[in-house]
Amino acid sequence: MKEGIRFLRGYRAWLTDASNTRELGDYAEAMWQSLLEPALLNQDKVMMYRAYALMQVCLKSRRKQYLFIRDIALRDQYSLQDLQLCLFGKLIQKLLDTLKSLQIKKQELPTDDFHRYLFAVTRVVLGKCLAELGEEILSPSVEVQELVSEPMCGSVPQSLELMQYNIALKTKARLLAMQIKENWQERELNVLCHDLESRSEKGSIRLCDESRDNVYQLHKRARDRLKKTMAEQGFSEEVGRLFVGKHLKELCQNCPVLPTYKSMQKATAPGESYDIER
Amino acid sequence: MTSKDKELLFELYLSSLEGSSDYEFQLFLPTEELPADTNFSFEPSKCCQTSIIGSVVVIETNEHDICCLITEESENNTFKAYKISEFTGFASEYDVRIKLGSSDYILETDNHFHVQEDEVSAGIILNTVSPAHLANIKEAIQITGKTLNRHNTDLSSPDNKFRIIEHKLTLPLRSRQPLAVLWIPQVDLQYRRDPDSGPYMAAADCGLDQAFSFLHAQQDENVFYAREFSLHKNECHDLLLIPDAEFISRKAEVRCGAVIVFRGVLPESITLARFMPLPVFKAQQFLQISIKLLQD
Repeated sequence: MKEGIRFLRGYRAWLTDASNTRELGDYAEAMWQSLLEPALLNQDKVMMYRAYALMQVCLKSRRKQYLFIRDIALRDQYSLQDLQLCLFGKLIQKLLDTLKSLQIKKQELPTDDFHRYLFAVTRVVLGKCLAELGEEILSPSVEVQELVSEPMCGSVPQSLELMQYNIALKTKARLLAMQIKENWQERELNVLCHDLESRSEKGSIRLCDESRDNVYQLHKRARDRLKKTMAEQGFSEEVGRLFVGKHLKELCQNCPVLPTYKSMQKATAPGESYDIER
Repeated sequence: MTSKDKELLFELYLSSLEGSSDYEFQLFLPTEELPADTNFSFEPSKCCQTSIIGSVVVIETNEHDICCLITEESENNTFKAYKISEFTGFASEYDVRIKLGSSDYILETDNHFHVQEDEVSAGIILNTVSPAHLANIKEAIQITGKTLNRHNTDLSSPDNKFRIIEHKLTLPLRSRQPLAVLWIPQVDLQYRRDPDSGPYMAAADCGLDQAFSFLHAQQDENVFYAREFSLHKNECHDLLLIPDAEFISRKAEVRCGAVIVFRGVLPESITLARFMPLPVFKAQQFLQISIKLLQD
């Protein structure tokens, strides 16, 4: 959050600096360079401000959509800074998806025309980002549906990914989920899942062989560990809440059901019957 | 998603359809203005894309940008395309959910049309799907819509309103194919999903269009005569609209109730629905078909 405010302050100062040129072509070029080498966004502040300014210009044509999303985001207690930065991160990410076709256009068109084309692409992609963001805010728990998807080939450069995680609350929650998935033992996650599921209408079949006192202690320990993980990573409570609300359910769907804290593996997937040796 | 949030999502969808606005966007510092984007539209490239099939393209029509996936080459140097949308919250049994890059989309299997090569070249290519991925998508298209959702027949629900507007966006493109079966919400969202309820619901509504007041006098259940057209049912139970001779080759709209299902030059015959085993006067009662001539 602090980093987000720092970025926006810097942007404002840059915007008011009379010595800066405000050519749309410069903004488009900055965006293009950022797409070619996303790590530059971390290194070159002016480049990042220019790319960000391009997004702001494109938002002009998406005003109604943006204001609508702003309202529902505020309703859900997101800050405006987070919203803007999350949108910027999304925009970069989705523009990177179009990089191949942009590179073809870059070869076909003279520089000015290419800048115009990139501007038009940014405007279209921004509309898609706004729609996706709105949908994410409105339906935080992703419904499991069959996706016809292409296997990932290549990956988004690490530095950009890290930048996005740092600038948006939502992406931090995603990072927290990844860390828990990688670093926690199944039996620890099993406890956290029991904590989550036992509040639901159906209840939980996890930890069914543990006494109530033990369950209480295990919940406390799991939550303490979660807090510790968050503190170590510098994640705020907001990130933790978002993680529990949005990502924990997904982790639990893939976490085997264990009847006690001490049981290890040999368990079945959630929802199936199990037979575990203790 | 709660029904309230579904309504909000629909509002969000409507707001996404709005194009550029005249008024200034409020920046962090109102006194500082970024360059305006007016007069900054790009000219389409004259070069042809090397591979059009598998492209996700945004095609600019008169009113809206239409995002579609080009799946195959068709006759006369055209390409078959399916409308896609990022509003996955409105996914129905007619859709295939696809993941392209970092984005999820729904591909609307009932919303397809043909585009010309120059339209694609003038559009914005957002992504390209690999041949293997495209083959999977085409396979999924084949099996989609086999199991219908019998419950959602309310045309005023956000999901169905979304579907109706999505088809409205592509109407100019779909109307180019006079031989194609029309997409009619009363057929595809009501009759197909629940064949029993639709016609009776319509029959219960006594206040139908005055122009068809002689409805009950119709004797032949395979033909229905209206002022501007006649409806016919063939041996396969396909429902056909035959415009009167004076309307053929003229520019017109065909409406089903309030929804425009065709806009363009009227051919000699339009297939309204495949296999609709209803007496035609009941079909008319249900669909409330009308034709309105447009200025050429």
